[in-house]
Amino acid sequence: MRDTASAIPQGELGKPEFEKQGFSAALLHFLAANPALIILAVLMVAGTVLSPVFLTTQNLLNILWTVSVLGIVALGQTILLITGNFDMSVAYVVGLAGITAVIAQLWGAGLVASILLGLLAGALVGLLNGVIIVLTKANAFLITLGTSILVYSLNLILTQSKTWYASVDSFLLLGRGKLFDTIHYSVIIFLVLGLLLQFILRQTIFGRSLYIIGSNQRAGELSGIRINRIKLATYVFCGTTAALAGLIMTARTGSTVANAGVGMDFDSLIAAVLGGTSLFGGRGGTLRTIVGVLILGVLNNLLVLLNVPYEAQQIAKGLVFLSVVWMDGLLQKR
Amino acid sequence: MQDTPLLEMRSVSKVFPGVRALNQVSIALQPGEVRALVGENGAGKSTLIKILSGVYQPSEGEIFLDGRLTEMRDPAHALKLGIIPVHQEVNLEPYLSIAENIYIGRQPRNRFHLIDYPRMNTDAARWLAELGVVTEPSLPLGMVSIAERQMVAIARAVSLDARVVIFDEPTSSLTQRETERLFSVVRRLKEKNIAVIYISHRLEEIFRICDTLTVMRDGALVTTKAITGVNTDDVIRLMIGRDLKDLYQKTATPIGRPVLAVKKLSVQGILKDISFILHSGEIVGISGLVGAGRTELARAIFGDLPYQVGEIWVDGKLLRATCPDDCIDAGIGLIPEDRKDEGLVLGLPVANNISMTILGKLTRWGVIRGRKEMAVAEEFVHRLAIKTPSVKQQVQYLSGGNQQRVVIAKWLVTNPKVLLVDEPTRGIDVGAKSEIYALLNQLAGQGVAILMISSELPEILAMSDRILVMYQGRIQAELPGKTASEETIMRFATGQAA
Repeated sequence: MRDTASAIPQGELGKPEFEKQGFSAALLHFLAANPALIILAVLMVAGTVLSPVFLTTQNLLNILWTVSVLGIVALGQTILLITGNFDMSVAYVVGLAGITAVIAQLWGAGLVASILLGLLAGALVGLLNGVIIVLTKANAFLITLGTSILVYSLNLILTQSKTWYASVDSFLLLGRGKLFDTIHYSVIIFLVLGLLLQFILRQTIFGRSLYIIGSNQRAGELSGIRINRIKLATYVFCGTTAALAGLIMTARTGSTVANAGVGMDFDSLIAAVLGGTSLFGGRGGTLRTIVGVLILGVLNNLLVLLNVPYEAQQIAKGLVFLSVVWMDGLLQKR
Repeated sequence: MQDTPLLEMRSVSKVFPGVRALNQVSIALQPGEVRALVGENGAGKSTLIKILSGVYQPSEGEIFLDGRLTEMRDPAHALKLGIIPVHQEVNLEPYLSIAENIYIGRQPRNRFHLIDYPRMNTDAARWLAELGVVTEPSLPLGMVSIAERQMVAIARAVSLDARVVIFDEPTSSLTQRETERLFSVVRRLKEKNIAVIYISHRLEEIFRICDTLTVMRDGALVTTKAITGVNTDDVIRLMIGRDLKDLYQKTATPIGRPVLAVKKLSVQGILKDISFILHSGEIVGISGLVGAGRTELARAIFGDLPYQVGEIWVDGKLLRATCPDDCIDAGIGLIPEDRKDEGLVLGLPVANNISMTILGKLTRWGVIRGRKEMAVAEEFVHRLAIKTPSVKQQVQYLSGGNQQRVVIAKWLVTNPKVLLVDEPTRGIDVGAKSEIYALLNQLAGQGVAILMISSELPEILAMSDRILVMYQGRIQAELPGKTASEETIMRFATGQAA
């Protein structure tokens, strides 16, 4: 009997098992599978060499603090990307959550109630996205772009195009508070959420279903995965994480801005893809996204430290994005 | 007719990983010859056509055009050489006009280098008239009937200076009158010394318009004959006659209680009034031509195709399913026709593919118990003798036969009462095939009721306790497996008997 699998030499079959190899070989293999880590390391070294300020605890904590809001949005986006979907409405959901919480506070809501209402607002937008996508089966990218315009208008209506200030003081701790007076709560939320999601992705039915949907939705459906249910859940989840990010952002400034999260739609995509989550679905994880977010943060920090003009910063960001999409395309073809 | 043939294939073979789709086929076509190409599904007809039209490159062998060694580099190149396929699903642009479709990619230009519509329309009308077709060439193609579209495709072929025109099931969606017009067009092509390759399941058509007949089976050439002197029965016998008895080892299993009952199932335009009962331990074969509704029947039973009329009962309980998940819970499994697109997630490991259907049973508080998942996968890899270096291996690196075993394993773990099997041995080697048959037999022996859809008649005949023959969405006949013959199945499947 001819059998193509047995004809292939064993070495070419899949990933080599780490146990059978030396530590250095395993490390090499690990790095080859995670090019984002190499990019991050190179940036860190470059930063250390080029700027004396870069490798200080204060600066590193500062980077983390800066990226944590975008990072939380990107974690939600990653969940969707793994299923091969997108959410372009996250940017204005960031604004909506803060606005909802602040207005709720003005109406007398306490800390917990206002936070829950803010999260609920994000979840509802996610639900709306999910329902439209499940019902129409139309392009998720465009639909969420459409809802994002609606959410922006809602933000303008709710704020009456004015700035409102948070009236519950403890709310501000969410954005400004630090654990042991060193590390911001938002940074901890970002990192813990990333770890937790990674566990959910890798170890639960829900997580496994996401990868199956992203790789071969049809096979998943025929194996008993309820695709629509999971799609709804992912959109609700992504909306909620965007809302969480929005609450943190609002708690930092203490005031509402209708377009608070502007640009985070694409930035969250860039971060996720930069970390190694595929735009085509089926590949990726939230730990990777943390790395992706850090790359963006370090790059930005470095450009600012080196006094690179804003225009050049944008050029760098554009180039990073293009190279990432190009790399993702290459990996997909392989 | 002893001149240099217009087109000649010499010992052409095509090998895909794990399958020899075409084996040493030699064919010669004279100018003005109308050649029928017949064979069962999977006999290698499409592969041959795809090689001629530049879609595939032959693995071995040579092709000569006008006696010169020629290579069809790609479809565009084949068109340029005058080899023009007119497909089953005519691939034209519905939003462009008829004339634009005929001249697509080579529209005449005026002196401003813009498309010269008046000239294009007059020229197009001339080509259509030459085929005896009167249609306004400026109409959008989408507005005319399928038959007209086919004529447009043929007009395009002729205007492209066709040497060989290939028809693949051209009459499958035509009315009687439209078919007659197609025949007269074929005759005109013949008068213009164009060679025609004509593929059809409708044998009576072949006798009407073809000069010669080539029969293929299992990727090899059976014979080429003049059409005079053979009759329908001869052709059917040539198409299916083979000696593969030892391939199938049907084990007799006691037939048990009824497990699946389908009652008056209808899906608008696809399935009509289907009723049958499947017993435990029984293998029921579903035969029929492509498009007869076989796969759709399986999908309807599996909750993947909503039906308007009818009931499905599993184990004495009415099945109210809105999605495959409900059917899996009821004890049904589906091994789909297309293993790569519907059966497997190629980028995931063997273990994850096997566990896909029972994730709910492998978890504690929603967390997948990795060890248990691995253990289940190991067990079934062992039981089905799946050749893989490890259960962590991605399925895409397995051979076709082993991939199919992974699909079977993924359903065995659910411990199904009913297994719907669609083309279980498509695209896998003969040796691997017989192991799949052994597996199916073994399952039936354990009391699973199996519904097996197959286009391969010997497979249907050897494996089935009963055979349901489908034709145009209906069950045309129910035959006992022991006494049915390939000839009778073919008669019912082609609608020649009712």
